[in-house]
Amino acid sequence: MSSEAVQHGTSLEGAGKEPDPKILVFCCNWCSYAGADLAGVSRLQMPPHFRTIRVMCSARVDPEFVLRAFQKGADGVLVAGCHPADCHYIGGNYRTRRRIALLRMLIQQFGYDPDRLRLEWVSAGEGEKFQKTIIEFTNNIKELGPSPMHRGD
Amino acid sequence: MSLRQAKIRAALRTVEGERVRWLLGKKGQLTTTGNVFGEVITGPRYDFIVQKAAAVELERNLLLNEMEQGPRTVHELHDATGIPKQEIVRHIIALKKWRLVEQAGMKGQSPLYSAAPKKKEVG
Repeated sequence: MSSEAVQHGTSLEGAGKEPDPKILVFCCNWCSYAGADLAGVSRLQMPPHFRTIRVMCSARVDPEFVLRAFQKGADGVLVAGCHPADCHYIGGNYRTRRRIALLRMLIQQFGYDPDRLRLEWVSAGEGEKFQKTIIEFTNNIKELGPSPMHRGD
Repeated sequence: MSLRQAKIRAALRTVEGERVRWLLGKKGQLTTTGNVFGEVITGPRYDFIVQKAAAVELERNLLLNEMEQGPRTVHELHDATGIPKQEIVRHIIALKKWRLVEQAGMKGQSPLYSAAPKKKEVG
């Protein structure tokens, strides 16, 4: 299989199947990204359908980023931050929690299932939790099917 | 542009808007020390207020986006957005109050409304 086919998630085996989901994961620099890194160095197996974006704090994830991701065709967005009271910037994750609650309501208004957006607390030592979250989220997104933007309904 | 795309654009404008951003940033104050009148609200009440404000702003931004493309009557706005006409009238009254919308003439018996031109930033 060519590297391009690998990159686009298309293979001969996958011909005729539903396309692989596109999942965007925002990880905070201090906890979740380290958790993701731990999952990687521990060689924990995860579905390869997600792309990670490192941000300094989960509160750096502007609601606009999430909406733009859905607008550009993302099937799911996961925001991972430090556990409550563990934020490196004191209260960033509380702000994120409020924003995500609002965004889950907003995305419903244009026909997206609120489960396409998820907030999860992952600390630097929780590589396994990161892996489980990714597997669970990918399965949820696969169950929900392609984004309504792809379906064109 | 499809209605979904229009709604996403309106949602982007909503989350950039002052009202929603201000409300999101004031949870601690509103639920602990209270507002300028000392009125403290509960967490569920705060959530309800934010969701309601966001829903209203989303509809208003949807209408504003539509009116930015040219003058529209209430009927045309209803056809384009699917928002009930009574709600559209309420939103237009509010938008006129904030000078975001102005009357741009008449089309038969119906007034035409258009989005007020944005003021240029100084400096």
